[in-house]
This record gives sequence, C-alpha cells and structure tokens, in this order.
Amino acid sequence: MDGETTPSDSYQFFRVAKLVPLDQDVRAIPPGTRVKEALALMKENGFSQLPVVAGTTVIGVFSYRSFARELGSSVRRQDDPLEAPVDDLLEDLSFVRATDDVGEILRHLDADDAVLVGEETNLIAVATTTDVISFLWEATRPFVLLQDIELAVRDLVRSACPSSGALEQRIGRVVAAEDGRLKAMNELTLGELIHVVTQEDNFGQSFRHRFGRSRDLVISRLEPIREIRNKVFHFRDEVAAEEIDLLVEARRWLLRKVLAAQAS
Amino acid sequence: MAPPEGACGAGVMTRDLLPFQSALLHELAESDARHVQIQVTPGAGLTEVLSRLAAGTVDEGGSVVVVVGSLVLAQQWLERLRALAIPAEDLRATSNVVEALDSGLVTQTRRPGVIVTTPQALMHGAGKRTSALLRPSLLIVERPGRAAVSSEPSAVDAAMADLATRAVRVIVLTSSDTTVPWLTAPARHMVSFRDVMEAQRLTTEIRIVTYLRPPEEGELRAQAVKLLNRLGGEAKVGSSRADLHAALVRLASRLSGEQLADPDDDGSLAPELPLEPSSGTLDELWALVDEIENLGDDERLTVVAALTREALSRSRPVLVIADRVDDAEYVGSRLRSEHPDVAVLSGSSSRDDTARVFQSFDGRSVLVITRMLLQGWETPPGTRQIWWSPPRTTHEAMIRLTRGQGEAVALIGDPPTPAEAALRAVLDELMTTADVHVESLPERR
Repeated sequence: MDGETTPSDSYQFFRVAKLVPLDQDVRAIPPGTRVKEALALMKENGFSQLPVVAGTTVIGVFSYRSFARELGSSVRRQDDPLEAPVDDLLEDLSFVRATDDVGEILRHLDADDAVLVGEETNLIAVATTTDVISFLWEATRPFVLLQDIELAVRDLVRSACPSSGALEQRIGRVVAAEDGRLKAMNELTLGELIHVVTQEDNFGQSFRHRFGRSRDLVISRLEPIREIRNKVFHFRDEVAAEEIDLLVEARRWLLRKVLAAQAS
Repeated sequence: MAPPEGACGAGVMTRDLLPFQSALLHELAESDARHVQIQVTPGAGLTEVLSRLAAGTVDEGGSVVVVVGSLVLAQQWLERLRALAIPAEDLRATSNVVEALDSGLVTQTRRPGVIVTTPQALMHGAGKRTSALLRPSLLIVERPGRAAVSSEPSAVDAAMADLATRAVRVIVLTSSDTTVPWLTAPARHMVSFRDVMEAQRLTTEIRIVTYLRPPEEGELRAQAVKLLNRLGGEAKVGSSRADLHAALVRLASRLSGEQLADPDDDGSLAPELPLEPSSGTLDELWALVDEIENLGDDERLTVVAALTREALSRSRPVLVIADRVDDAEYVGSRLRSEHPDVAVLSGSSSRDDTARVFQSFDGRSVLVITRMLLQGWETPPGTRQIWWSPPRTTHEAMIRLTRGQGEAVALIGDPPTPAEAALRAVLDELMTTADVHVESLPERR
C-alpha cells in the first residue's frame, strides 16, 4: 500500500478474481469426513465439490464426480460407501491465481468443472464452470437487452409509417448524413432513432399510435436507454443493477407495443 | 477551543475547513477515546474532516480502514484520499478483495495507508478472511445502514463488531442519535443542521406550491396502488405520472418472469412476489399502463414549467430534483420544449458530461438531476431547487438544503399522494429543529 498501482487504477483483463461470486463462502471438510456427511453438506449448500483441508493444506477435492469415479476401486463391495471416509475418493483440481487470465483456466474448467483459487496452503475461493456462465451472462446481458430494444424501436417506427416515403420524411426531419443525403433507418444511432420517434411533428403524426399517446412518458422510457447504451458500448464504468432494470423494463414495455402493433 | 487556523495536533491539517469542522478535527485528533460516535447532519463535510484525520494517521505510520454503506460514497472517499496523495486501496469489489488476499497485499502486519471498503465486501468468504487480517490503527464507519444501527443483531453488525475489536480506534458516523450496539461507551459528538447552515451562511426558505390533480388521475392512481399492494409488488410509488407508470411496468416485468434488483438492497434481487398472479392480472396491469399513457395534460408538469419560467426571468438557475432517471427525463422532456438546452443528468451520465454541466450552471441554466448526483456539488447562489420528487426523510431534505444558498420549491397535489403527504411531516420537523422558513404559495389551478 505504499503508493503502488492498485487493482482499480488501470484496466485489467478478465481475471479469475472476477468469477468469484460476492457471497461465496468456501466450505471445506477435514480428512476422515464420512461420505454421507459430505454429500449432505453439498446438497444443503448446492455445492458440486468440497475441498478437503488438513490444517491449512488442501489435500484434494471431494465431488460427485470423484465419488462416482473412485467408488469402484476404493470402496470394497461389502462396505457401505456412505460410511466410507472421503479420503480415498478425492480428485486433484488445479490451483490458479486470482490474477490469472480467465482464458488460461478454461482448459482446467473443461476437464474438471472447477479450479481452486490461491495456493495449497492458502485456499481463497473456488471458481466453477457455472461461475463462468454467470459472469458471462452478466457481462453480455446489457448488449442482448440493448439489441432487443433497438430492433423493437425500429420495428415500431417502420410499422407506424404507411410508406417508405413517409419513413424517409420522418427521418429527414431530424437527421441527415454528413454528405447531405437522407440516412437509412439502419444507419441511425439509437439516439437518432429516439429523436426521430419523439420529434414533436413525427410523434403527433405517426408514432403516438405505436408508442402511446404521451410523448413525455415515451421520452421517460427511451431517453435513459440512450445514455446507458453509450455507457455500455464505450465500456464506461460497470452497468449498475438499476440500469439493467431500466433496460429490462423498457424491453418488456416495447415488446408489448410490438405485439399490439402486430395484432392491429 | 479550536486551534489556530492551519495547525492541529497529531499531524493533521485544518486549512480550508469551516470553523466547526476545524474544531471537530482538533477534538478528534486530541482525544484518546477509543470509541467515538459522531451524529452528523448532511452537508457537514465530515468526509473532508475524517480524510484529514486519516491522512494524519497514515503520516504517523498507521493504517486506516474506511467502511461506507454504498459504492458511491466509497468512490467519493477514494477520490478525496487520492487528492490528498494518501495511498488508498479500493476493496469495494469482491474481485479486488480476492486479488488482495491472493497477492498478500492484506496481511496481519499494519502497513501505512487506507483501505476503503463496504460492509458487504467484508461479510463473506474472501472478504471475511480479509477482515480477519486487518488491524487498523483507525477504523472509520460512515453512515451504517438501518440494520447496522438497530438494536436487532444483523450480519452487518456482526461483521463491523468483529472488525472493531481489532481496531485501535473506532469512529462511527450516524445520521441520528441512535445506539450502535458494537460501540462501548463512545465519546459523542454532534454536528447539527443549524451549525452547518450558519457556518455556510445558507438560507432555509422552502415554498410549497399546491396544484390540482385531475380526478381521473387520482382514480387511476388509487387503482394502481391497490393492484400493486395486492400483488405485494411495490407499495412505494412516487408522486409523478412517470413514477406510477414505471412502477406498473416494473411489476409487469416481474410478473413476466424477469429478475430485477431489489430497490431497497445493495446488489440482491427483488424478493419473490408473495402471490401467484392470475392469468388476467398481467392484462389488468398493462391496461392501467395504457390508461396512464392516455391521460390528458399533466398539471404537475405545467406547474414546474411555470416555476422554471419565473425563476429564469429573474436570472435564477433552476435545478429540478427527481428520484429516478426516467422521472427526470419525463420532466426534462417538458422543460426542453420551452428551453432547448435543458440538461438531464443521472448516474448513467459520463463524469465528463456531469462536470461540464455543473461547471457551466448559471442564471440561464435549467438542470434536472437524480438525487444521488446532488452529493458533492454546491449550487450557485440564488438557485431555485424544484423538488419534483419530494424528499422522503428529513435527512434527505437537509442534503438538498445544504447544497447552496437559494430556495426550494416543494410540489403538493390536491389530493396529495402519500409521498406528498409525508413531506408535510418532514417540513414540520425542519421548521421545529432548524429555523427553516416554509411558505405556502397560492394554489395553482
């Protein structure tokens, strides 16, 4: 902490640390734990694996897979497998560092579905394939929502105009390409598209029939999306939970408008 | 007695502080109380005071941990500390905590510097282990949430109590005279709203404007609130049409299976709806949304437009405060039809845009912002604040009033919404406790 660069000072590529869920509490079991106790703990907490730790040292991982894999060779036929200690039913998972690139650990996840973060004597977290999926879902969700929103607005704009000439006229009232020609709809930015919809003449003439009568309410729904889009596409800060909610709500609201337009 | 300007004990500087801030900093620097509780009023600039105290501690080779209740406050702390060239570690995000733990950055050895974090980041897994390694010379806990100051034990309480046992000294800021269960016989200090207003020579003028809410809107609002309450969705609905519209769209989204964040919590999902909706409920909700969209002119917008015009005619800048960005855009849209340069700023706006708009804010400006952006910005003298969304608590009203010298206008409908009715109680409290002058203007119809 002597003035050195801190993790937040500069951009870092997708690192393993990003995969660890906020509320992850690593649960470990000591050697000698019976299989049925380990399985009960895994079921109760929704874990697929449990590190086995002697003192501060990780000696292996007990998992559904390791149990199934080792059962035949490590437990005698006459013994109750649930009463067996987990010690002979372990697998070795790879250790990775919190600062490792996510891309570099995918082969370990592909093989074992999980990696251990830290060192043998300092287990910090467990990162699983599910964590990667959750992380990627969170990272890509704004893009998917914005795509739906933008395409829905385009759809409604197109369906509100009786002809391509009318559409060109509505667009021409608001934007023009740098060379002076009319922009086609698929050349419009989301900001321009919203502007086309909410321009007073356009709205009164056409778009209120598709988006709802109150221009002020339509602006209140669509304008925040423009700012969030800029934030997402310019990779400015993290997208806040309430911003995701605004995208989700706008998408639902537009979806209903699209369905109503299709039914009319 | 306050020390001479610019000097203070224990290596802290008081330059550029208001007299009450200097006096408090001096007292804190000189005091040997292990636990200190400061009941602080908004706008008192205590982050500034405590960052100086933290700087003094670091200069003497000590370590400081600052725990604040929100990411925004944490960011403000980090910026303040870095401006003072104090080594500051950002441990707000789980990933940063995990990396810090793995790299050995956090050890049992005290290292000079400041760690800024949140209770949430210290409560689980890697965060809990990190917390166990911390031995701060000074622990500052700012604005603990409701759970942390209640008499009921909570997870936040437990995490803070645990960390406090390892700190040499603990300072907790609270917004009310409440008991913090994990402090032992704390030395108490208080910075009152009156102190802040007097020190900054701020006026405290609030005008109430009453407007007529059309009966059809009142009926729709009643139906909507009934439906929202029945489904256990969101009983809290703001006073504007946009807010009502948003609450219904939000609930319709949840009924359609969307997972949304819990507005009352930091990071968790909204709880499951208690009732399984019938097949017609969604249609009922969307029908209400349609009806709200089909209402005629919104008198509330008309009143705000008139108040804006009147302020600008006297060269007074106008600052409209809304709770949510969609509400801000709603009012911004109407104002823009008269004043094309109206800016709307929210947490989604870029920092550059926000700084630019704040910097150019003058007697011809109209700005609509969400309430979170108010923190850390002082408005120019004469600014007329229009409280599009009423403050929900006295604390929130104080934050608004301490932003600068000017006046505030509160809107109350006839009939009032629950939020508007609650505003009356807030104003009464302000009048009683802080010499705030409240005046009702003639009703607008």
